[in-house]
Amino acid sequence: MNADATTYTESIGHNPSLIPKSKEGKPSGLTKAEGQLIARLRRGDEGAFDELVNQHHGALIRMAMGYVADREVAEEVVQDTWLAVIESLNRFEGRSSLRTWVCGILIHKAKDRGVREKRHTSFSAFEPCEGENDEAVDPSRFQQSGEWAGHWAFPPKSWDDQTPEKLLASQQAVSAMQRAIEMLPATLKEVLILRDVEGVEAKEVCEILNITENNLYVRLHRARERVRAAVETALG
Amino acid sequence: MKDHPSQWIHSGLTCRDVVVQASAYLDDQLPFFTTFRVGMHVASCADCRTYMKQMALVCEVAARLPKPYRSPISRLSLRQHFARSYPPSL
Repeated sequence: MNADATTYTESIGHNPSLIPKSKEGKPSGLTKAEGQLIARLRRGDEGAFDELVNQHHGALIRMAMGYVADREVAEEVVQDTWLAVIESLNRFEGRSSLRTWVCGILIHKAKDRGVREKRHTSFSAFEPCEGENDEAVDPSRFQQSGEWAGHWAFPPKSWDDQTPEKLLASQQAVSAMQRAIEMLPATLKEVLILRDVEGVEAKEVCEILNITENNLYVRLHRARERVRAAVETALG
Repeated sequence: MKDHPSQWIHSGLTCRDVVVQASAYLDDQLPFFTTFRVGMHVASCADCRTYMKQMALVCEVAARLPKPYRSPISRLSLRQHFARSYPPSL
C-alpha cells in the first residue's frame, strides 16, 4: 500500500463518527457521511451499495454520454465503472472524496471506451473544443464600434414570466435543454453535469477533472450559454 | 453624455465584459472588487440583468431535470457482484 495511504482501520466501522485521517494526521478527502458509507460497504451492507449507486448513477450516465455515442454504450461504461468500484473499494485510501474517486474511474473508462470505439468526432472531446479566448456569446450581439462598443446590440429578450417551475412544465423548454446538454462536447458537458446538474462544488469539480478554476469557469460559461441559447430559441 | 442604461453607474465594464464573467459571478467566484463592479453594472443595465436572470434560471432548472433511470437488469447484476465481493460480516 502507498506510504501516504490513509489508515483505514476496522475502527471506523465501530465508530462511524470518525473521519479517516492520513498517516500524517491530515484529514482525508472524505466527508463524515462518506466515511460512514464506506464502512457499511466494507461490511457488505447491500443497502449502502444501493445508496451509493443511486447517488451517482445519473451523473455517471450523463458524463459517459459525453464520451461515447449512445446511451447503451454509456450504460455499459457505467456498469464497468461500478464493477471497478466494487473491485477496488478495499484499496480506496480516502485521499479524495468518494464522488471524486468514482467520477475519476468513470472518466478513465469512458475516455478509453470512446477512443477504442472511435465514436467521437475527431477525438475533439479530449481537447479544448475551441480556443480559450473564444467568447461564449456571439460577439455580433454586441456593438462593434462607436461610443457604445461592447454594449448589447441585440440583447436577450426578457423571460419575465418564466420561473423554474414553468420552465420545467414546458416540454419544449425541457427538451431543448436536454438536447443542448446532449450536444455539448465532453469537455463542456462534464463541467455542466457535475456543477449544475449534480451540484458538485467548483473546487471538487476541478479536482475530479484535474483542471484549474479559471479553466472550469471558461468551460462552464460556454456550456451554460449554449443551454441558455437553446431555451431562448425554444421560447421564441 | 447619452443616457444609456449601461452607463447609469460607471462600473468601467461593458456588457460584453459582464457577460463573459456571468457564470463566475453567479457562483460567487470572482474577486471582491470584480464582483462589486459587475454588480454595479448589472444593477444599472436592464439587458445584462435579463441575461443574468436567464443564466441563473437555466442553472436552477438543470439541477432539476429528470434523472436517467437505472436499468433493473444492471442493478441486479451489480448487487449480486457486490454481495459476492463483500459477504455480510456477522
